Amino acid sequence: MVLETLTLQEQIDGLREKKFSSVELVENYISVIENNEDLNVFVSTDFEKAIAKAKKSDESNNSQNNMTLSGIPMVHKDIFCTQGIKTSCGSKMLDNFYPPYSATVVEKLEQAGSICLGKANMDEFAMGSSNETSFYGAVKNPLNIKKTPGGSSGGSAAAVAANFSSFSTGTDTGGSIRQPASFCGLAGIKPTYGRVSRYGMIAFASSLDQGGILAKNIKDAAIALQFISGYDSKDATSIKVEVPNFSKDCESSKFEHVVGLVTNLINSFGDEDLSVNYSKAIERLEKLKIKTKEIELPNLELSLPVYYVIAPAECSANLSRYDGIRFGYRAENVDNLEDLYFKSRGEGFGNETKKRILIGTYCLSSGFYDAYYKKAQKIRNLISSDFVYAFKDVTSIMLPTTSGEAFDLGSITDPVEMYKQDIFTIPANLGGLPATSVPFGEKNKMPLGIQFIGNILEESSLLNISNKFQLDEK
Amino acid sequence: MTINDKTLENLSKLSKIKIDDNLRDKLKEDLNLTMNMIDEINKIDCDQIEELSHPIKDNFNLREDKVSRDINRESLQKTSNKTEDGFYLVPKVIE
Repeated sequence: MVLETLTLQEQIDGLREKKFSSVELVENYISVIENNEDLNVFVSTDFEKAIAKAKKSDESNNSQNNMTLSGIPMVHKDIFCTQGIKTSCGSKMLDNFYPPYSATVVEKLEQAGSICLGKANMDEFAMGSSNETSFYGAVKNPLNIKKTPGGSSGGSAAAVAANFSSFSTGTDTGGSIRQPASFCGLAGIKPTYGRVSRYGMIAFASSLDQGGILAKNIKDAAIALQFISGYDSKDATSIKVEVPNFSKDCESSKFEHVVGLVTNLINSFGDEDLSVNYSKAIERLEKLKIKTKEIELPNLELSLPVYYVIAPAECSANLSRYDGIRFGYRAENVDNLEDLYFKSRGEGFGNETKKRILIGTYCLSSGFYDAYYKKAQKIRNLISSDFVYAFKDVTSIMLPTTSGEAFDLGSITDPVEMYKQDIFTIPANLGGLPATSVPFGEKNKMPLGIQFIGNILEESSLLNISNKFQLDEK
Repeated sequence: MTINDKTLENLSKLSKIKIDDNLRDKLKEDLNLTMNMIDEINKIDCDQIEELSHPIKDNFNLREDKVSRDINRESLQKTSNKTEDGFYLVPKVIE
């Protein structure tokens, strides 16, 4: 039996029915990982610990006392703090960082019985769309090693696509779960802002960052999302509401859908392939007899400039904590305290991170605050209001996940061209809305993705429509 | 050009990031490309619109104001290699 290609649901069932053991599952994955080291997926692994945990899980599996994810191997993005285990965030700055505590997401998945195989490579501090900004070098796309797996959760996506695990954690500030999911032919979900605790998730842009899941299909993503969701007193922005049964709701027939379409907007990009794939997605909805309605998102294109003010502004504040003193990289041969700050930050941060801190500093600096930061927040309100208005008539909105397929590593050198990668994914982050990416179509033999955006806290309905859409593929 | 040598120097000082000389030109070019893209927002008239700083309105669940000692000083300070008697060591500040 080939264990590494099984879905999360199949693994849960197989372990319960004792078709295989957790040790067999873990050992299978380790062998696949060791045979594919050239993909550069991991920053760190701890296979001995994983096998020991699997043995324990197999023993308790006999006592009927097991939890749903008992003995299931998984991979964490290296942005989630893991107590005593290196957490680099893809940066030289944190290459020596062994956190004294674990992120709530990590703790929750541990409590559910899952076994972490390793920490996945990522763009430095989650700033990037190709994984090329990582201190540890770019991750390669398992479907074609010349291509990027996307970013910033590129290692998490490549891990699932290369059969290193059935699901992985990721984070999404402007598309960092959905774009890599699309580039690697996977399902991904970024839940509502506040649904998943950000405690111990290294901060990039605090009003946009949200943890989520990458998996082989929507059902698996729903199962895993269930375990990381919920209110956490350690995160003041986490929402105090009950978590629905996502995996059940995902397959329920109780949801009525009206999918919002933005055909004119998509056609206005003048990209024939993009329009054709979008039309095919509409045809699938029609075939599924799902109601649709054309809507307007008039300010969508402003999302990009707005995001590149707000995210860098928040990052410049968040990343001021890296002073070379309390944790992280500390420069040698310094003259004084000021010199220690300048050199530690100058040597510890990579170029993309520096750029974003400088942009953020500029937009927040005296004389420019009103023109950039305040203005961006006002337009953020416009974009968010467009969604509020649209959701009066529809239950979800369908957009492409990206404008194209995974591109060649090293092929995009213009920063703005790279930033444009996220044009369709950023709006959901600005509105705090949940969104998925579902594999749909292909271009140049690489997968494409379709994105569904749901209303605030409506993940159940969102997962339901995404699952229906994906299942029709079979 | 929005960001010239003088602006870059000021940004370096504000953000306390040493910028290598060989990086300056490329950095200036990239920052200006980004600022040109960002300047699109200046074409929009939104004076009457309120700012939105947080995507979920009225959701601040502050925990009880009680001291908890989840992490002790010793384990926290293990992340730094320059500590002494519970203090972090920095270069001499007072001459």
